Amino acid sequence: MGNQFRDLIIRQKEIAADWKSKGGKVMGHFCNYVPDEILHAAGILSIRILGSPDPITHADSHLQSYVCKVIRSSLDMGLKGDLDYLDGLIIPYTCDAMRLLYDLWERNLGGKFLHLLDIPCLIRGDVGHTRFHEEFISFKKALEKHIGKDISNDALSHSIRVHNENRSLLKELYNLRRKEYGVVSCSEAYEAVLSSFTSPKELHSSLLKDLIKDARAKIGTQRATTQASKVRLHVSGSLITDIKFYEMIEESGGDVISDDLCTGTRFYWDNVIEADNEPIDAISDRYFYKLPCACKHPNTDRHEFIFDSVRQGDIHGVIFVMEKYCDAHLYDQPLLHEKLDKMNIPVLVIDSELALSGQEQLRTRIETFINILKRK
Amino acid sequence: MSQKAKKRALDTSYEVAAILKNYWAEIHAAKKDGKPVAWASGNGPVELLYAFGILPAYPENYAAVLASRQMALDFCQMAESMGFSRDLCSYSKINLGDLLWKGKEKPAMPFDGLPLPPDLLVTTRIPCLVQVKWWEVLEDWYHCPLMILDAPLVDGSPTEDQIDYIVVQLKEMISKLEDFTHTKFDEQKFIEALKLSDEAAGYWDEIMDLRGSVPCPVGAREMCGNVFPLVAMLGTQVPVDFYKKMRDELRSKVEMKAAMVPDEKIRLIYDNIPIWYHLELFSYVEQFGAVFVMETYLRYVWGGRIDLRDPYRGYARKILSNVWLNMSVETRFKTLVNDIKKHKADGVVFLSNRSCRRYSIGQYELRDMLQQELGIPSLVIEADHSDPSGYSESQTKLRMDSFIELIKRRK
Repeated sequence: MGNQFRDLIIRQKEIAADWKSKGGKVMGHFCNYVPDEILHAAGILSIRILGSPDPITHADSHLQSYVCKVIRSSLDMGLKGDLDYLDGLIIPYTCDAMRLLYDLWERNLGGKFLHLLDIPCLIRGDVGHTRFHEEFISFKKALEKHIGKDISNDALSHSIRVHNENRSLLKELYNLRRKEYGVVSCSEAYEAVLSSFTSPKELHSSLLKDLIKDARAKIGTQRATTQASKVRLHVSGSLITDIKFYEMIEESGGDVISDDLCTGTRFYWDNVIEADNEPIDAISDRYFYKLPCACKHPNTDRHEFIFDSVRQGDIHGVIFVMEKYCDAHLYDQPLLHEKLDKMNIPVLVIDSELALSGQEQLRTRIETFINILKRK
Repeated sequence: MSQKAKKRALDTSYEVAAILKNYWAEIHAAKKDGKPVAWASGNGPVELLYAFGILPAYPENYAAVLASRQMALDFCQMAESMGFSRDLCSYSKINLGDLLWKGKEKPAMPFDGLPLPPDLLVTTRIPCLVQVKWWEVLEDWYHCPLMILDAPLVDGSPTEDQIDYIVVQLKEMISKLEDFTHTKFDEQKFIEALKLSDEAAGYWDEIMDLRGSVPCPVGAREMCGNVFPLVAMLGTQVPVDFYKKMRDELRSKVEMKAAMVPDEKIRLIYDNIPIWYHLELFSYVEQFGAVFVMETYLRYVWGGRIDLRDPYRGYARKILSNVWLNMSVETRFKTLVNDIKKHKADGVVFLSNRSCRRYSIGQYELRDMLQQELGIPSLVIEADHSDPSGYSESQTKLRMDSFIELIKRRK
């Protein structure tokens, strides 16, 4: 089953080409504050760019090496032509480096549709709410101007349902894995999440339904029982793109059952609640109130999410995967660490630059951590 | 680094030490009297705090003080040993290391240290998101109210929408400060503070312009020491008097054609925060007949004029548009081009500052744009503004030597 999601990741460009051959546009972006629903309603396939672990060959003359790998490698991909298949790009104001990436992109790779989603840092309270909402409206308008037609409320409502379904299924998978240990391995489940970033949601949701159905059939079987004895972990950080990390945890006798990653729960936890308001308002509210990024203030809901997850009592330890030079997460981490210590939750901190460096050494650290937890 | 400081170019510069001492003494006295003391970020709405009678202390500025006294390393390492990444802003590492200090004996702190605990935390995204994250850590530790002024980065002039966003936040902050102080906002006091702020900034701008004279009357090293009242005390009388006096002195120096370096040959611009633990770098070049005539940090980070005809919008406009770090790369370029011409500069020294990404990203573009469009050469040196670990003084000087050679050959 997992192979189907891996296949979606491998065939990402092929899928995008297929989409384009049917007359659709494909646009990239960098962050889950970019509203996929609006892109979808405009007939655009949304691609979340996750950077690349490859060595930088073109971007070093534009950007210092002390900028995070996501930004450096994404600019590098752009300069090398790896993103030429995109019809446009949306860059949100999340962190400072991301905002300045917009300027570098405009200067070096301008020409196509390029939109700065200038969202505020404040994600609670009226002041931030108004500005956030205005930015979503401007984004919709810019997109309408670009495609030469209005995005109707019906189209937005439809897109809301498509994305809500996808997010609900990912959340269902999360809840199922948390209740029925081992019915889906953590690497399989993580590939399911990662593949959603670049796939047509309708296709992705149908595969997710199959995965969940098969998983339900495994409840109570031999496989599930052996998996249940594994050490269960919460993973915290910004983004993880290297599936080897999950495989390493599995091979060491661990299982990731919870996370607060931007490439994880923060992507799918919250749905759009469409009531009597305009669909665009409902979409904007979802992104404003969603499980926040460390770049936004306040992001205490993310902290509480971690503590609540740990308080459920089924987690043995927390692994922080800290992306180098990601200031926002690096300031939060010691605070979270200290509180987890007080809760008697063992913590392992590892550094990442998209790829996990020193794999064998890292494997040893993960194995040791898991072995310690096993003995507890 | 131990080379004794030369006699200062301006008599007024000698007054800054007393201003600094009084400022900290007043804050400690206020704290002792039970008055609320705020910890404020650089570029925060300090005029508003003064209007409410709240004295602001600047952890960032205090970190620069420690760095300039060669005291930063221990504090940075203390913060790192407590789990804060080496790659974080060194100002924040110094502050957090100071607050987390344990184990070995703490060195004697200049000005008796920061007033503890803060009663109020005021920060802004104007210079960077890091300020907000750093202040969140402080909020977590001290559990006192945190007020944030959010801002978009500005390309060209701020739009009306962007100004609205600042104004509405200022008004909200005013009502929060009324609650905090249990006093009614006195708008007249605020406007008075804005007037003083604008007046001081006006003199400062004149001072910066006078430095553009040929020969340049005063260099960067001395001016780095003189910027403090502008950083911390905008909205009070002190910087107005100080900078007026300095402006007057500079005017007469310029009339007399007084020169920072005899036989001035090369005029340089500096970009980024000064290397506080090696300010000598600024005067090092003087032996070659070179002088720093303008610094983006001194000209476009502090101060800023305010259009008082519409005080809130005028203030919002200044907050948004005066700060180099809050400018788009394109705006930084245009501003730099203008200043190169205005100050008759021969080259630009960029400090690529590993712990200030917001300031440093875009510098490679600026370097290339200046070369292509003006034929102006640039040098990029690498260092951290306050954490001296890994800094090579000799390497930096060598690079500066060859840059000066290059400019000389071109002239």
